[in-house]
Amino acid sequence: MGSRSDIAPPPRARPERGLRLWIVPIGLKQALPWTEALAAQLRSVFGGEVIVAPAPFGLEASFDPQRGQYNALELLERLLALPGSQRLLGIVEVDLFIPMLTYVFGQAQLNGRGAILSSYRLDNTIYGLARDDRLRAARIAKEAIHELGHALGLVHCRDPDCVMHSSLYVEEIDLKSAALCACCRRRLREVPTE
Amino acid sequence: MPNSQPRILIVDDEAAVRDSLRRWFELDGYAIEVADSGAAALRRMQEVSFDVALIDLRMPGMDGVALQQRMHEVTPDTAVIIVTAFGTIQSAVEVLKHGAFDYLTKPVDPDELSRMVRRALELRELRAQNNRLRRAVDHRGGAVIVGETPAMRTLRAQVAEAASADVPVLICGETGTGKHLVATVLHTAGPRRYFSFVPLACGVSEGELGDDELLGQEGGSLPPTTLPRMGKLQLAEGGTLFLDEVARLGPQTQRALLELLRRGSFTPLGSTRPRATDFRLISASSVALAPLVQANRFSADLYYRVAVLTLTCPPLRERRADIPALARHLLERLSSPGGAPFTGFTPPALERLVGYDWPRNVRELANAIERALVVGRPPLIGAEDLLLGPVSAPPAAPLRETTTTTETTTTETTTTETTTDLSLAAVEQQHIAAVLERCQGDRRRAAALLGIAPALLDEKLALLKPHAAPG
Repeated sequence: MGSRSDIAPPPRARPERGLRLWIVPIGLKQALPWTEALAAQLRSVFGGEVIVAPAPFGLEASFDPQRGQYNALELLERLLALPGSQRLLGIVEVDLFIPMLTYVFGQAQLNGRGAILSSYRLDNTIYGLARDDRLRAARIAKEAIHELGHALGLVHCRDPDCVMHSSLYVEEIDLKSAALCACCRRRLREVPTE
Repeated sequence: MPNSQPRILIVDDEAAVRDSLRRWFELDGYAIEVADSGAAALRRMQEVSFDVALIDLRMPGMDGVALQQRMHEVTPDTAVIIVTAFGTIQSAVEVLKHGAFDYLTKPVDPDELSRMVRRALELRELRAQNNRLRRAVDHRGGAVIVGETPAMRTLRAQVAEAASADVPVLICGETGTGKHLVATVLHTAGPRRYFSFVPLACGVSEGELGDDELLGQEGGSLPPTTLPRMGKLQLAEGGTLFLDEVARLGPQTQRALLELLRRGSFTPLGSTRPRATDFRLISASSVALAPLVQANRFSADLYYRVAVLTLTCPPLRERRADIPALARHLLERLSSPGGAPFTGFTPPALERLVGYDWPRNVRELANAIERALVVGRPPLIGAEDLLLGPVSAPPAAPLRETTTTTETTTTETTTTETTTDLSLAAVEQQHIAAVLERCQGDRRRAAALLGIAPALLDEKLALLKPHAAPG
């Protein structure tokens, strides 16, 4: 049985005017084939306007040669420095870390303007498994909703089926749905409209 | 996990680490605070209570191990996780030896960090539940011997052995050292725990106990107006009779008690029918009995019958290492459920407690803490909240029993002073003198501390003995 996100779009979290969100691919030579699909999925969850807008900066400054990874906090800082009032979701295909931790799937500014997520560890080939684009897209969508949920003020949820449930391994991402539970949806409705 | 938002303190000299960890844990819904040094962390811990502290091992100034030790003194319930980039088995052993919850080497896997913090929170919650249960047991009359010095561990082992041995025990120690509590533990840990523990204060007045108090009285030859009365021996049937300040028994009562112990029976007043007795005898004395035996002031036969086993409770000043733990135990025990939420002591307060000589031992410590709970400001009791009297001379007759010396840490409440003037006037005078000394003679401040008008203090000072009033 596939994850719930593969079967039907989850119910809208916010019936109001919704987000003004930019999906911002960073350090990518060409547009990613899955970003438009992701934009559509985020529109179905949060409503409002979601567009793809490549970043005006690259990844180089965030690279840590000692670790061979990219600093998620530095990237997030540069992302949030972009002008405007829209929410921002940075997308990278490289491995991210934050000081103290070996890796992160993404990093959000709680109750803030945006978040960043990496597709690197969401890809089966990293673990020596067969490529599965459909599964990877589902994982990216769940993580994008999860990180944006943080930016909108949601913390980790105890409901293991809720997309806001904390996932530390890809297997845990696969286990949860792409939808917000009733409790998180209720909390999200308390967020002021854009 | 506790229902309220768990509080985590992150202590690291690197801003990037502090910031990344703060952001990481905020997403879990924890309340996060950060500190860039050990000193800053300690300052904050005196204002707020934390569930978990993540501490960097290597920091300029106070390093992680030193900070962890200080934290353990101030708020022992905080679970400390030490984080370091220089992980060695030796440093891990070192921090765990000092009471840290666990140890992590940078960089940490996200799942390892999250799970460790969750485990630490669960452990803290379990400890809190355990403390709540223990308090509930305490309120139902349970007794706890607190302290981890080697002598304390020895004492607990001796009490466990003595409890099951069911032979007479003599407990020696200065007043306030916890003899009553040890007696209670001997009873509750022994085979007679389902029967009564009957204390009899022999030191209430110098001389003889009333026979009726010990033996009871029945109808028979008693005048018709006299009501039957159960004596302590009958009340203690099957259980334990605790003779507090046994050295103060008069010669007649000593003889009666010796006879009773020899025969294993007694005859209540007004009766002609002897009754067999079955009780355990535990005695306590704040003065050494051996010199009294040598001076023919205490029956040698009785001495050997009451002191089949002897335990000695040392004065608090001889086991200062137990004072922090004991103070916290008393704080927990004396805090009223609806009272101010005190969680511990500031480091200067602990230094004062450890540095003071405690002439009246644990009872004096309990009194000092009880007062601090009234005058102090939560969450921590400060040095300024502790009113400690001037150090008095040691007791005139130091105990020198030729037995194994052990330590006790207790919350005894019912032993009787034997060498101190316990009249209300004398205690008031001592207290006023101590407060004045603390206020360096400032009568207005002293009156405020005492909670009386300055004029009333002046009146009381006029009545003070000349030597009691500081100049």
